[in-house]
Amino acid sequence: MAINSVDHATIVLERHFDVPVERVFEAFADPDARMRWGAPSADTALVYEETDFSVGGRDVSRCGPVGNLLFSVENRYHDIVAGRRIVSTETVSQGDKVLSVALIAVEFTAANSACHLMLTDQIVALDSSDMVAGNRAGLDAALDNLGRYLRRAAA
Amino acid sequence: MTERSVTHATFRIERVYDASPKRVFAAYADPEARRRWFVEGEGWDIESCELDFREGTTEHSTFRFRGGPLIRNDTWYHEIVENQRFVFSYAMVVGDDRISVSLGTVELIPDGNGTRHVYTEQGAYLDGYDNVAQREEGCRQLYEALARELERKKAA
Repeated sequence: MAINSVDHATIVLERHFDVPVERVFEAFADPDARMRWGAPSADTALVYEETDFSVGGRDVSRCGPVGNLLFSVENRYHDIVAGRRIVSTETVSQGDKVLSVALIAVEFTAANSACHLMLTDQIVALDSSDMVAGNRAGLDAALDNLGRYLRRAAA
Repeated sequence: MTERSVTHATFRIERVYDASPKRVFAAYADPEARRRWFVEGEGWDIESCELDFREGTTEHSTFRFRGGPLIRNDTWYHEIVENQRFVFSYAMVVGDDRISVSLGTVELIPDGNGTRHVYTEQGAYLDGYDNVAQREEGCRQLYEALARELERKKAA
């Protein structure tokens, strides 16, 4: 990607979790839970500086390799329907530079006592940033962690 | 109980204006100009309108169309590069129902002496209250109004 370039993409990820939908929703609503499953790998970390899970509220966090949390993330909540969906926009910056902005919708559907999750990430990546691939890999890994987190919590 | 659904879509509108990127950018940044082409319109009653086009700010406005329900628009500016582009998101509420959340990118690309204005909307349209074709048509009308605003400035 060139300087001054703008790259739009849509990423869709789906998961099936063998736990009730309320529990999966709670793992998104609770920032302490999110800190546990949200970092994509063991050598990365996610630390919240501000949290407000409510419509019109926002979370501010830092993330990156452990010991070098170089990315700053603002997540603003636009729509929350308990147990059904969360719509937010996520702005990722490094210093003064905005790397990407994404509209993220997470939809939860109850299937008997299990939960089907669909995450749609509509992203705009700005200037040479490799954020489309980064977002896809990061979210994919985070949802795998979420599965492990839910299984551990259920055990 | 409301039937819950989310329709995801992306659309793109391109237009070439006979005005420099600087002038097109100013039509957004100058509150007086933007109120003229973006906010006011036949049949629209504006109840409140705060315009504040800066990175990191939020704008709120409320209005009605021909005496209909109250409509609210909340807009956030995520990134602004003067005379080149900006990225914003906006949420629309009609009465008590949130109908959409959208991520918009405006690119202003020099084209001869004019500007190629490219608008990309990535949207989540909620619970069947709005549809993509309708939203795209509404945006096309806005960019037609922007053409008139730029013509008006040229004539002045």
